[in-house]
Amino acid sequence: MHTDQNPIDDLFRNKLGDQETTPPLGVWEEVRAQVQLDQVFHQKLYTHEKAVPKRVWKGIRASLHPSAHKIYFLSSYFQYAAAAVLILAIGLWWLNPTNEPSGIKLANLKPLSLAFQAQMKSSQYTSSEKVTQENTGNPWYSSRNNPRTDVPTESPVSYSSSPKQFFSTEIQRELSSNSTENESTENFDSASDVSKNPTLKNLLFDSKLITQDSKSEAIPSSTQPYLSSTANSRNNNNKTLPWTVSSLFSPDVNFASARNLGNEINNQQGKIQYTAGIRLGYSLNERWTIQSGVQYADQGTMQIPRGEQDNYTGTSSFSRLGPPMEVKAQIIDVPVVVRYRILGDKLRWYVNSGFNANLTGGASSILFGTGTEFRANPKISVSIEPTLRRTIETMPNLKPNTLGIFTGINYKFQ
Amino acid sequence: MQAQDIRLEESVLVDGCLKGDSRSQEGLYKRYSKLMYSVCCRYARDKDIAADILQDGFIRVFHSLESFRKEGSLEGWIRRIIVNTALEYHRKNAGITWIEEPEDKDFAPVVEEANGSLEAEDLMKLIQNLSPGYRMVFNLYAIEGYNHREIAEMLHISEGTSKSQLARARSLLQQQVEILFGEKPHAY
Repeated sequence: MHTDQNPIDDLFRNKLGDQETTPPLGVWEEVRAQVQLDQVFHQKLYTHEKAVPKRVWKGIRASLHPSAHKIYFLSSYFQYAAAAVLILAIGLWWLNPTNEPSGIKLANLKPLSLAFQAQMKSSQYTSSEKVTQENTGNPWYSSRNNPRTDVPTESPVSYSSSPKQFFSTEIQRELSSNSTENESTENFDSASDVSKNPTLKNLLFDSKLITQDSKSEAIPSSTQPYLSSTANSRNNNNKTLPWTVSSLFSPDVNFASARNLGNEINNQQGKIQYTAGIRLGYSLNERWTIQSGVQYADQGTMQIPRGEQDNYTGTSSFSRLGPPMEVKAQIIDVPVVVRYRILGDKLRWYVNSGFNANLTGGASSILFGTGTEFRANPKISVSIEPTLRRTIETMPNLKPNTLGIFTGINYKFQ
Repeated sequence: MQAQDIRLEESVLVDGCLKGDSRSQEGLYKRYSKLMYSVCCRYARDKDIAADILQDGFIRVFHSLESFRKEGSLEGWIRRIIVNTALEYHRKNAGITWIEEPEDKDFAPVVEEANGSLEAEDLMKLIQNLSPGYRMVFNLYAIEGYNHREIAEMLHISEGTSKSQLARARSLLQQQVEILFGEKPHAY
């Protein structure tokens, strides 16, 4: 406190020092309003919580554990992939040509052996004398245009049904017509029944292909597939063996790039990495095939520079803070691929396209490719297909675009 | 849960984080991320920027955990880091405009009618609509509880600027509250 004395100071101090003056109206209201405004905002917002976007934790985790490759099997990508596979499975089940129509219980027929089936399929179907059919190489066509003469008119054959329905109807008719003559047709459930029933045997099989001695006859392994596959497309091996399992391996040329802090990082560009996987395919018809499976890709390690940068404006999942970060691009994908065969039979040429749903919390990608497939035999083939994979979103800011050459070994099965 | 239990749980989480345990890190993040994201949203003009601030802030938290003394509140410690990250973000990227305008005196003191029905999200939007300078100072003073001297140091401005910014922010907020809820003054 200062000690100098001044009479003017004393005058004003004495007159005004303890002077009270009533403040104007509104001052208190203003003060109270401001205090209450602060209180309202404080009370409402100090402990307020908000749901956080998922990408925030992904970015933090990538920064804290850059080499970690945790697979989130319940991630959204996996859910999308699972939904796609489920839809695909339902679709395939719906389209499955082995679903027999009602009529004769073909499931009760004891199966033909595979060798027997192959022999049957490779042979030209010829009818017996009881089935009026011209040997045109197409039993369905022949039957449609040459209805049987021994069928009663009050029970016309329904030729509007599918080929396998036609065969079913024919078999049922034969069984019915013989039921009065031969009681054994009531329990038509064994190979011996087939051989005992000459009408059915003649209807189903060429006499050249089945021996008359039922005891020494090969046990039929599956009459139902024979009926459906032979009637539908005799020369269509895709129909006969619709499923394919393929093991794939691809050396990849990496065009990976990443952006952070406005800089392009491409220190993996041009390096060779690899992708390996397995796929299950289903042939919808002789040209279209759908494949899905799982594949693993190792696309190297990148150095991502970071630091305090004034020009940082992005919404990168990488933090802009900290030392340079190494990111290992090791990716697990679920590919869903549609293939179209352009031409060829033993040596085929096809194009394909699809997408890879990423399971490792990273980027999904789309792919385009073309390839050739050499069929060593009806079940085994090898393929080679150059494929371009293009990232459709960044993980985190990483774009592992690659050109790969998928080599595969494929096995077809029923 | 009692304060002692909370402290113990926080201590376990912190120890796990210091050992680099990813589960502890995730546990700590989940415990405070929503609260801190709300803080970030108050300082940022949109959610994307708020998410960036939250991410950088939590990475700082994990990198700085060694300096945390377990005597104080972990929440308060994390909050300070998040707030500092938000201020730094604005200083380096967005920039803060210190608008010096005379305070508008003709607002009506409608806040006295507040009864708690005004939603937090409404108030959040009002704050986000403020210019960065008003937003920073109002957040720091009215919600975080810093005084003008501390705010001046944090933002590298004078105390007078801090006070004027606060006054202007209050004025605008009160006007907006009145506009939004003026027809039913008892609604908030």
